[in-house]
Amino acid sequence: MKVDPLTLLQDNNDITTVLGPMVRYSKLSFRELCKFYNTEITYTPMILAREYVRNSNARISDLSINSEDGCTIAQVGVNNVTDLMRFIEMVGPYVDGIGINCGCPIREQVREGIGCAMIYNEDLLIDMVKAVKDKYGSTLRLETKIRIHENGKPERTVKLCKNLCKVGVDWITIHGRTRTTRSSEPVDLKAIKFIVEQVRTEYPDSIFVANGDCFNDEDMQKIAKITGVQGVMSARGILSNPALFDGYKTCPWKCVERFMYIVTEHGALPFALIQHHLYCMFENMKSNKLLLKELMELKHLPSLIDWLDQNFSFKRHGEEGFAQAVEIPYRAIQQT
Amino acid sequence: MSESEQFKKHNGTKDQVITKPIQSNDGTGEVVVKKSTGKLKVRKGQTEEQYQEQLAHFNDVEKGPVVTDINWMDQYDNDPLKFQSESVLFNDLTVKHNRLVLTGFIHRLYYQKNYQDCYKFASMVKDKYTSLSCHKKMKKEFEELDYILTNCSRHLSNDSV
Repeated sequence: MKVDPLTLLQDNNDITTVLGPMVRYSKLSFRELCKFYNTEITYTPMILAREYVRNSNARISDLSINSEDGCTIAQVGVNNVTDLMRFIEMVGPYVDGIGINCGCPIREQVREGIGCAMIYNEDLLIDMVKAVKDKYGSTLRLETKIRIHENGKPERTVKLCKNLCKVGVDWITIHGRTRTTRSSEPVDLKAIKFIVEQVRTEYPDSIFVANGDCFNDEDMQKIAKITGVQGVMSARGILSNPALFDGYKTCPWKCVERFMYIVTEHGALPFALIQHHLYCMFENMKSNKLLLKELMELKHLPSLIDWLDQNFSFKRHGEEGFAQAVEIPYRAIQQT
Repeated sequence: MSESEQFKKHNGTKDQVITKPIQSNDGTGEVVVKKSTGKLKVRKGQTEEQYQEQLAHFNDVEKGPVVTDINWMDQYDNDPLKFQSESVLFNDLTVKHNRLVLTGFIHRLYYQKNYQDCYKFASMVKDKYTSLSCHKKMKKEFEELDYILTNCSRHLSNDSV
């Protein structure tokens, strides 16, 4: 463990800022970008334990780390204790914690008993946490990221959280939506508050992170205030604005320049992912729509670099003014 | 309410059913899951011997997860072929991800506006790719290399004017 996430979460002076796990998108380059802009804890995309412990090629493409990748939680998708213990034996020494995904609502994963199927399979989840904590104790930080079973006063979720605390889970992240709630519907902060308050009657030192609908600094403050959690996690919000936790209401241009530098330094990030990251950032910056369309028609990284040079005053690392601009530095007035 | 009923959404749609994997007790991680068709599917386990083999490969050959620090390509003098010849993990270029890592060197040179080296290495990598048995399935990768070669030439000729 390079950085103990519990130390960050237990610091009562500040709300701990967390980049959530995102399929494909919370890979090393994006994690490093977010950390540069004040994100304290980051998650890898969900890694399937079954594949990781069996296949070298899966290991190589699923997880990369570096010395800047401080306080990283490896999120694991798993449906049995054996795979989990083996996954932790391999990955545990290289990250700052392990998170069991009990929130992913993707149908294919749920059918495998992975993701939010776990919150309906409480006995197995408790067995998993108990097995890990019995073996590793406080030398390994273990989190579970769950969804609520129902809106309002989810008693079943309270019971699950109490049982998780009983077997020693280090903290619980609660996404305030049920398995079938659409992301367009607002997150149920009252349900998170209810769970946190109820669990703390028995486990007063229990630590919670709230997830859902954090798109700016005001949201973060509001979520923490209403729910009483120690940390706030953002996923869609930070995907569009990686400087969200640095107080920026919209994505500053400097994120684009720094991201391009990081991805070319790390290498091996598929172009479609780079393109999607930039699309989210440009859309958040309310960029010219024609340029957004052009961006999505590009085929590879070199053409993207040329496109950035042609349309913007695009600074590279080492050039004066690199990663300092906030507004989009259009080469010509192109607003439509 | 029976257990199977309580895992269904009220509208009873088949896709909404939550499945509980059935675990075998042999400690191999073998589970039985229900497919979308309703059929049961066995996800095979991994014996202790198989796992120890993977663990040894992870520790001794892979040396843990891939580490890519800023500037990690400098140790290979920005030369993708030097990296490829020295790398144990990435030398099989029939694996798409390995080619992506190799092409990353060329991307970095292009970003750095080092068009001379970029042209040189893109030519070498293109030759390497042409000799692969899977080269007919690599149309997009060849298009990208051709784009790089053309544009490096253009930049170099503009610079020399």
